Amino acid sequence: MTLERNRTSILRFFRDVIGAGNLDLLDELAVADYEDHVALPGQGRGREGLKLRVAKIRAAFQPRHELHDVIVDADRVAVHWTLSGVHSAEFLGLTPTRKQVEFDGVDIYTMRDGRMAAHWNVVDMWAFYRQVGGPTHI
Amino acid sequence: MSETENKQLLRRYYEEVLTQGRLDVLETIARADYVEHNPFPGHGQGLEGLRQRVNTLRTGLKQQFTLEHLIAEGDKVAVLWTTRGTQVGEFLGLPPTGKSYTIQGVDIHQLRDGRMAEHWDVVDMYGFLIQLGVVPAPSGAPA
Repeated sequence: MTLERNRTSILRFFRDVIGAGNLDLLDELAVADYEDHVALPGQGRGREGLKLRVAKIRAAFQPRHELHDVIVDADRVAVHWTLSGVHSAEFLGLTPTRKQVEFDGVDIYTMRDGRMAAHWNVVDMWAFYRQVGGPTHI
Repeated sequence: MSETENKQLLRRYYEEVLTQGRLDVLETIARADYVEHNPFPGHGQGLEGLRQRVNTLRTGLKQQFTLEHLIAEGDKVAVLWTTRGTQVGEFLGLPPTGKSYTIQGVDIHQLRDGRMAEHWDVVDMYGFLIQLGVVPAPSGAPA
């Protein structure tokens, strides 16, 4: 069933790609022309851009995502999570602080043939900036 | 209630309550024991807490919502919205700035028996505060 296929793809993305760093799995889980509406600076286009994004987030936070909700509606999925980690590499202009961080976000994906096709999100960056002690710009 | 009906009920919340200020509608669309998981400081729970929240939002901010995504499964509905607004009054301790902003947020609503029962949210407060001029935009970060 499409709903379950979509849910499984998203759960594998969080567990195996973001969690375990298996970037190659994205060839299976995301379409080549993946469209990110909230791309990080320098992310680049498509699935290759998504690989760069995941690598950057993993390096920046060594993240652990606790998933509160995975809501699947036809070809769209919403995921509400709390990220816990350590701010270990540059992220959005902030030099690593080595501080423990914890903040919430919701990702929204549209799916095509069981694969991630487009992405939007809202992340509580205000919590992140407060936890790392405010502006320590490069 | 079907997922379509749940989405319809939430459209009423954004249009009739948040946009038009019809607080009486809350009695029809929300439960008396409504639970807010991200309450504003000092706010209570239940229907009264929800009225308080809507009042705080509408007194401080004049805003227009665009519902970009409504995603429903069972009794849960996620709503990603864009709001274009102006801070016209005191809001969460901030004196009125008169400044305008465009931000996004996601509400997660849990319904029960066809009414709003619980709520969580993630809102781009950082973008909001930057656009109000309350905090500086960091170099390298998108405002």
